[in-house]
Amino acid sequence: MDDLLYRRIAKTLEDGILSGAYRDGDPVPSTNQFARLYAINPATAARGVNELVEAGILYKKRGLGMYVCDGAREKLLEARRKQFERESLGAFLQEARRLNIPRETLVQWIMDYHEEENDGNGAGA
Amino acid sequence: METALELKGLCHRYGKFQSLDNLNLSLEPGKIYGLLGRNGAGKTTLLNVISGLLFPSQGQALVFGRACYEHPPVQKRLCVVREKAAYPRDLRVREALRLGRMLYPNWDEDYAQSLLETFELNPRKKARQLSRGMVSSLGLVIGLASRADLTIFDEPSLGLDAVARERFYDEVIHDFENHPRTVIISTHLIDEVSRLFEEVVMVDGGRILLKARTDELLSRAVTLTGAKDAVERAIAGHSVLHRDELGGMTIASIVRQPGDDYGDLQVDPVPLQKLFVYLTEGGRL
Repeated sequence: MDDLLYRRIAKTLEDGILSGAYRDGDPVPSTNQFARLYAINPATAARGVNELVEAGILYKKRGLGMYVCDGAREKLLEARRKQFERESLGAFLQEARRLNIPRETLVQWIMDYHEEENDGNGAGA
Repeated sequence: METALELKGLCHRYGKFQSLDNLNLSLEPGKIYGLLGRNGAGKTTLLNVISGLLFPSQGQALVFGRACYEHPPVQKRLCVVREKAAYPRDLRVREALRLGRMLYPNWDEDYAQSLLETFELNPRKKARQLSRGMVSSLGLVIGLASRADLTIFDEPSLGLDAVARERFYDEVIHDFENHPRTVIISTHLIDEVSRLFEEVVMVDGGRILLKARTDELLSRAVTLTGAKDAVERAIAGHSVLHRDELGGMTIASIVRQPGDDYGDLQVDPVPLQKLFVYLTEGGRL
């Protein structure tokens, strides 16, 4: 249920940390900045931020704001990998089953996909 | 703690018609509430009782602990922006603001002037020269600039175009940050404003259907889409709010239960507007 507003705020911050926009020890935008940017209730924005505090991704410096914990990116990567395995891969395999695509074909497609991508990069360079 | 608004066994009748039926409610200061109800649900009657225009037939409506109809000074802490604002025909916009300045002790004149620009209102225009949308905008300017401890907007977006509505939502959030107060927005255009609400109160048929945190409420229900049999299996034993069929597919909105697993069904949230419709049509959370 990533569509809930507070989850979207949390995810925006997570994506920022994963992409390197916010590094360990960096400050992140305040609850009020999020509320203003998206015109959402500050309490909703705060709930998204607090979720990351509870998960050990952000910590609060009194009177200063929210900062990225040391090792936050690694922690998020690990969590997202598990989520990928559980959700994305599951959905992918379910769809493949629905379409009667054999495992071997899937594996072949994954290999080919990588090659195409590499070819593309090679051609561009 | 002091409550911004408290209803205690509040009843109101128009002759034999029971317009408000034993309302009990307590709203905390410093939050933005949505008051949601269909036309005729009793929203405007409730606002009129709160602001002292109507007397309750039973019970009490207290604004910061005082009833407006008994204790007029508390009205200075309350600003109600009405859906059917009846400004005198020849009253100019700038004169309406002057009235606001006289009525509301927290009035911010600089803010009022900047809001006139935000909502593109000409201060020299007379009330009779204003379009429906401009009348609404004038109400928004007064409501926002009043900075009243309890500010109530009754159907604020009537006649406003999309740009003006977005500007209003931005102003509410932005000004609320620097000047926390209690804001109640009464509306039937729900999805657009739901992101502003920390909590919602739903009324229907003169009663309070529920009061809940918006995000908590939204997380309670879910829409499942998939093959008929699979959906039927997943929703067995659940409270079903709504069900549609499309060929062999079933689309069902249900109340979630702990430990639910929906397998490979498509799972979507239920928008507040839909949830509201299902609940007023007898759905139970």
